[in-house]
Amino acid sequence: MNPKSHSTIRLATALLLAAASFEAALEAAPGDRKNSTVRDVARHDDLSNKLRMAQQKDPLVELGPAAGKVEEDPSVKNAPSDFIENSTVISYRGFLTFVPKQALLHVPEKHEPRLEIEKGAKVQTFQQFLARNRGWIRTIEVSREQALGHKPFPEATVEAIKNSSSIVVATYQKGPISVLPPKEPEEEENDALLGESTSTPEIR
Amino acid sequence: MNHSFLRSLLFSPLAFLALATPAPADDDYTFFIRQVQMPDELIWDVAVDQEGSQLSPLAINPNGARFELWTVKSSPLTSYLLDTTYVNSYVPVADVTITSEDPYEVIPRTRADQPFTVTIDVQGLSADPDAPDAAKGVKLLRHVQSYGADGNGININRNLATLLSQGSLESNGTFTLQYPVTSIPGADRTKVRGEERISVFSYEDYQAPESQLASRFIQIWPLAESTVTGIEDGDTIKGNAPRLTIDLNDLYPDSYTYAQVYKGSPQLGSDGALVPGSALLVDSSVPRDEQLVVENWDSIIEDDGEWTLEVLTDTPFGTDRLEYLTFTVKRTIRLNGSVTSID
Repeated sequence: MNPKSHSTIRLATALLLAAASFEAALEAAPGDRKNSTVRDVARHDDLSNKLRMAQQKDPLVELGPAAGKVEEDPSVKNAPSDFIENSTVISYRGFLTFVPKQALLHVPEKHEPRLEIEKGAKVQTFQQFLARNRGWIRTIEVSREQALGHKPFPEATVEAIKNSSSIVVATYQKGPISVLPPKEPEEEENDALLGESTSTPEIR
Repeated sequence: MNHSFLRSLLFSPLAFLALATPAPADDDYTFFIRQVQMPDELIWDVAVDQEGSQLSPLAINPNGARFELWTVKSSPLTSYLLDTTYVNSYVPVADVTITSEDPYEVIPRTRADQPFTVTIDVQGLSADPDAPDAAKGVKLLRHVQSYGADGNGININRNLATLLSQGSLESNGTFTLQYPVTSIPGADRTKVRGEERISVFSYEDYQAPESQLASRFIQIWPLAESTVTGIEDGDTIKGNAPRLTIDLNDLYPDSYTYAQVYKGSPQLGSDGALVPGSALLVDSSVPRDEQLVVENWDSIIEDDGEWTLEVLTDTPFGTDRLEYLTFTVKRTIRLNGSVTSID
């Protein structure tokens, strides 16, 4: 018997075994269920009655009366805004990524076309995209206070950002972060007052 | 009071993807976790691995933060919100789980005639009467949404769900809610398909609007139905068994459906012979329609007499008889005549 015949036999045996085990699985399936009682499939009338009974008593309502802004659906009204609309895109050569709006600290004119969505480009995380494009994207780690606009950047940093030939992205712990405009002293005072007047009572 | 603390956040995009609207068929989806500080809307995209957990290094104080888990599909470029939760120093932590008789773990699911159980766990509510409302209670929402006649939930807009009922909780603990059957709208209750969603929201206060603390949904699939053509109730088979066509609709995503025959009149629970070529195993995430053609099944109806043909479907909820009919086999030829001789 030549090797080809052996292969043919092995293949046939494998197929037979596979078919047998599939058939066995089919045969075994009905008995495997924990509830083997057979019944006629439920009809519309049965389910309508069941629903009528169920609707008389909603256990969720019984936990406590509706409260808060009951006339509004917060899952719709306060739903987060769309991720793409709330981001700035950076795309290049078939790949693109998103960073929060206000995370780009500097975009040289020559790189502005890269802030358009490239049709058909594959989406990557910022870290993946950065690894491919370090030649023209720079990151600058910012503090939480700087991101909130509470603390200005040192002048030297501002100059370096302004003169960079790369796109500069603000990051916090390597993740892109929006940088809010610097707050005027008046706003800071208001914030401080707000903090005092609305401080959370101690929770016991 | 010092509000400065970091809250642990579990990052498991793959687990959440299971709850996503889109079907995760390939690597066309990229995940982003976004931390939005309240109320200034400072936004930070967390650098995370595909799976795992970590402590958020960006302090959420003083006004709390909303964590959002997004997946973005490359083509067409679309973003889907998979989950979101609001975290603040005094706002309670909530968890929702939904279970049914179907042990499928990817997405909780059940059938239009079956019950399901909702478990709500709330911790961190304050008993202090002077605490803000958002620290003393949470609001509960129940939404229902139909997928439509043949829908399976792909690309549905969850903002269009119907807010069916609202409740509230003012004490910590684990609360179990039993629902005997779904309330998803639908004229034919056997054909209801859609989802029920239970959510826990914080109350509005000066720091944030009413915000989601936890939310889960269960998918509800219709009951299967079967139509056998090629034979009718009361038919008589005198020659070969006829060619049968079995149309099966809305087979449950985890089901084994088959036809069997046995001698005698119909009786639930009878053990019959499997009609060759009529067995179908479905292991899917959505219901399925199939058409089976059965031929040459004479070997299982050898004797003359009355027979019953049944179509059965076996699911995690038990075995349901979808259809049955009786027929008579009459193959023995009787000759009425006499023999005479010339004697």
